[in-house]
Amino acid sequence: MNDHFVTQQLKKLRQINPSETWVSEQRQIITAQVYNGQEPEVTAANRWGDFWLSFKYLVTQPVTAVSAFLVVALLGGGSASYLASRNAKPGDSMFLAKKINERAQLLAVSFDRTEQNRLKLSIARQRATDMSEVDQEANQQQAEAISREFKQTINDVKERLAKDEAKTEALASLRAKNPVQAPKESATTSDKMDDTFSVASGKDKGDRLEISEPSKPTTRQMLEDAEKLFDNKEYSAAIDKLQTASDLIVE
Amino acid sequence: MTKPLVKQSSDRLLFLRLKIKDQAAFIKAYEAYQADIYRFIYFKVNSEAEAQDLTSTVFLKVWSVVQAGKLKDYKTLRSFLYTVARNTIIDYYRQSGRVNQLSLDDDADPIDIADGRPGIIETIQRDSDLDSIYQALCELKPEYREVIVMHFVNELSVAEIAQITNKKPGNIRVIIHRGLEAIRKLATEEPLFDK
Repeated sequence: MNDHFVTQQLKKLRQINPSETWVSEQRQIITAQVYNGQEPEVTAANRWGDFWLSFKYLVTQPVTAVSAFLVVALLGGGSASYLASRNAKPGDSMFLAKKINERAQLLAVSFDRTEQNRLKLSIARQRATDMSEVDQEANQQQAEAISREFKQTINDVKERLAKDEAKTEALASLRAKNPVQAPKESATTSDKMDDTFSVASGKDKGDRLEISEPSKPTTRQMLEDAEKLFDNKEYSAAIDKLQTASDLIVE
Repeated sequence: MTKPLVKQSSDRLLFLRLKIKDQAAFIKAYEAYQADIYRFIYFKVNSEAEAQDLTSTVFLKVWSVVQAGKLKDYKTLRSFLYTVARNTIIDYYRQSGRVNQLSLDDDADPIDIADGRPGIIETIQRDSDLDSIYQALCELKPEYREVIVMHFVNELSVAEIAQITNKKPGNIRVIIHRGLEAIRKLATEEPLFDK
């Protein structure tokens, strides 16, 4: 006989109940005492009253009050800092909040490299716009901060594109060394492509090393051009160039 | 032993409605808890008739407290009802000069669960395991029996029992443990009398 058995048996003792006759009689007596003999009907107003009581109870609970305060503080604080930092530029006191917001956006698209690159280029365009609005003579420190941020963002994208390119090349060379692993079903298409490119490259049909995506060096080139335009204080042209580079990344 | 959320919220709602002297809420509370209160009192006193009288007294007292607007903020409605029931039983013993002790072999006042309703006692006696547990429970120290009945038979939580008995939850857990041990011992011993 273990504890579980004993507790199961004890639960069975719930069958000890007062007689139904007594319960019914007692209910009548209590109803008579409470209502003076007449029991009112349940109305919609009673139900609304229940809802209102529950609501009032919830509102007065410390846990609810603390949770509501935290939610308001987080949402309110977040919104307030976002609004205040919306027009902040590098070097401003509120720029840190804006930077955090940008990081959060980048984190949200961390699973998508293309979208992350596009977002970084959008941030770089914003820095170029900031630079065009700043009086560089009067705010030399701020101008330096913006320039630093701009270049850092562009370099990030360039490095990422270079890494992607290296990966593609490594993959292509691996395929060239192990042609068996190349999918056979695409042979017809590959032959056609090899015909086209092998003429220009002077390589054999099996050599696919020369087949590279032309968009990536172009994108990187465009980023370098945008950097040069930025250095030459041609901010509007730099913004256009970055926009084109961004479109190319998608393609 | 956690109550389902719906049951907890309906208990809370009933309690809130009682605070504003809602008559319908009182009737609902009676319907919901009369059997539990009766059972609790039954294991404290020795007869069905007295358990019935005391249960009626408990609900009338509760109604007078509700009407007077003196509801303290108990954890649950159930804990409030049990507190009133406990105090009523204490008053009952004080007035009658009886000792709060159930005894199966007391010829002058034997436990008679049937009291004109042979169905329940027969069901219990037919199940030898249940019968031995029931007898052991009746033989148990009143302090243990009270907590065991509240926790395992009437399914009150340790926190509720602690509030009703003015003890710490840790103490209640110890009582539950010792009570179960005592029941097991009593139930496996030789029967005290022949049925």
